Amino acid sequence: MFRLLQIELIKALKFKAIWWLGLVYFAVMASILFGVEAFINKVVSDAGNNLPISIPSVSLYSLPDAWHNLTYLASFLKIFLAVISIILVTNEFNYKTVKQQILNGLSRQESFWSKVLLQLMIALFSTAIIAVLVLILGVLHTEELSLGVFLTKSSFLFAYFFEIFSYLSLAFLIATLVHRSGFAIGLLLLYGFVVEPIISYKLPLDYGDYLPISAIGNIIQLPNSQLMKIFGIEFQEYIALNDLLITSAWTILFYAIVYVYYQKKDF
Amino acid sequence: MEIILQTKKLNKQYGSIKAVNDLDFTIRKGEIFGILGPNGSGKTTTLGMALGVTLPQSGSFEWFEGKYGKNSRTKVGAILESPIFYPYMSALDNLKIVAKIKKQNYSDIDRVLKHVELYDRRKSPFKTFSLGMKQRLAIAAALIGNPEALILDEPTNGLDPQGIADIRELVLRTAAEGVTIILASHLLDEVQKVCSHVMILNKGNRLAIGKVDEILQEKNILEIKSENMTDLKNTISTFDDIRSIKEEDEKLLIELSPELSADIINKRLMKKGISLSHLFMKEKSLEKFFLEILKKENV
Ligand SMILES: Nc1ncnc2c1ncn2[C@@H]1O[C@H](COP(=O)(O)OP(=O)(O)O)[C@@H](O)[C@H]1O
Ligand SMILES: [Mg+2]
Repeated sequence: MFRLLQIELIKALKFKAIWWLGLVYFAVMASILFGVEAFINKVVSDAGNNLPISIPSVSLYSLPDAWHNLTYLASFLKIFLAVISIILVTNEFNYKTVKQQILNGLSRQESFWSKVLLQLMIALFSTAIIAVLVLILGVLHTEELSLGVFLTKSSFLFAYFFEIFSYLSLAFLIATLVHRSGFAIGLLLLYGFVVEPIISYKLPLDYGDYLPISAIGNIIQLPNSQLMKIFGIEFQEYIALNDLLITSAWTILFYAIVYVYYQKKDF
Repeated sequence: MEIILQTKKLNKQYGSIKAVNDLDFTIRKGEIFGILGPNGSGKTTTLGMALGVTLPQSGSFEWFEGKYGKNSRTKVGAILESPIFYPYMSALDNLKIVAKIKKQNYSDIDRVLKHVELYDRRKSPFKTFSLGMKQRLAIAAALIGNPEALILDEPTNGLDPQGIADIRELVLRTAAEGVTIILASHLLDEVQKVCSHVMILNKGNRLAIGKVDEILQEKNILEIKSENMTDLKNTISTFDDIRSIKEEDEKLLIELSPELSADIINKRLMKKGISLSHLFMKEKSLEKFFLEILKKENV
């Protein structure tokens, strides 16, 4: 496993575009997380000028709620990670190196697992960035620091990792089947923003929640801010096992399809 | 002799095209084994199956009589069709990946780079290499980990005469170190110059297999008969441009050197007072006929 990890790391880190994408991802992420609280409070207070009641300003950064607030926000940027994954997967088909590495003696299983490891690494990379940002912002904005505030709700970090990993499994599947990066990214967006919402709309009740993008998005739900509480709206403030199970099922299915592809394909 | 690769009834069909048809062959240690056939005859498909990138419809193959089990593939270096590397990486980084795949130390990389004379260019990106250099780097990659067999598929395709000479020299030098070579080519001339053994393929079928000397030699065989066979035989054996004489079914089969013809032989015999009751230039065999086609294609 360590050997496969090293191989994937060499391929990724020697590819300049990956550094740029990673850097842009980090910069966008950091500016959103650092700027979001001020932005929301500005919008809210502007809107509140005309209201009779005064609206309390929100604090997104205080622990333990910061785990939930910030992982929720960060998950909107997962398309960046999918782009990184898609580029690295389709590269192997464009350069035909997926064939050459089998000629060189890598087994079909190892080829598959090395790409699963790549998805894991991308998800871990992103999770690590979020963890650091949440800790920095949390420590700066939490009045009473104790071990408890760090641990409570830190399950959202794991949930975030899982959300990214699952989303990448779909990106991996599409990239493997279409081989071209632009096309794969387009399909992923098209499915997520057009196809699935339409199917979801046509389905009775809330069956749409079982579709992959919805299920993945449901793991970390919109945080329940003080603002929302004023309006009496309640949101899911925990990680629901149900959401994890639905997402796991899709993730396993996507990886299974790719696995079969790697076994049966004439490279 | 130790067996390197043996196939049994390998088959591969693409739609209605039978790319490889019930193919059996055995390659032994130390051979430079040529697979000769025109484009589309199934050479690449055959090698692809033996190397695991193409899945056979039926049939089987075995490397090294099974002695390395699942690891046998790391004992084979292979280049199929064209050199494949990550274009954005240097030669050195590319070979690091190959070394990792083959579970070899990076220390082997310098040796193979020197073997193919690319050591000085090891830090250049692969995409800046000429085709000849790419081909040599591919051979370097294939040699990492001291493979027992090296597979080359049309290794001189598209190269200039100097590049071709370099590759052929490299193949012979590698073979001299004890590596068994399997070389697919559509060039009769290449197989004759480089290989010790050959299998001829056409449309996925094996037409011939054996030593290059025996299979590819141009033979002019004349069948003759006379009333007095002993006389005939004695006279013929005095001609020193006859390569061999064989008696078969009360006829003599004589192998002529290329400048001789049936007419010349007949005249000579008449001068010696021997008249022939039968004179027949043997028809070219299927293989020879096919080789003629190959030769014409490559002019
Ligand atoms: N992936 C493929 N799909 C369809 N047909 C193929 C494929 N690969 C090879 N063929 C066909 O199989 C036959 C043998 O091809 P190949 O093994 O490449 O021949 P060679 O290497 O001797 O030129 C050809 O008719 C070719 O068109
Ligand atoms: Mg070929």
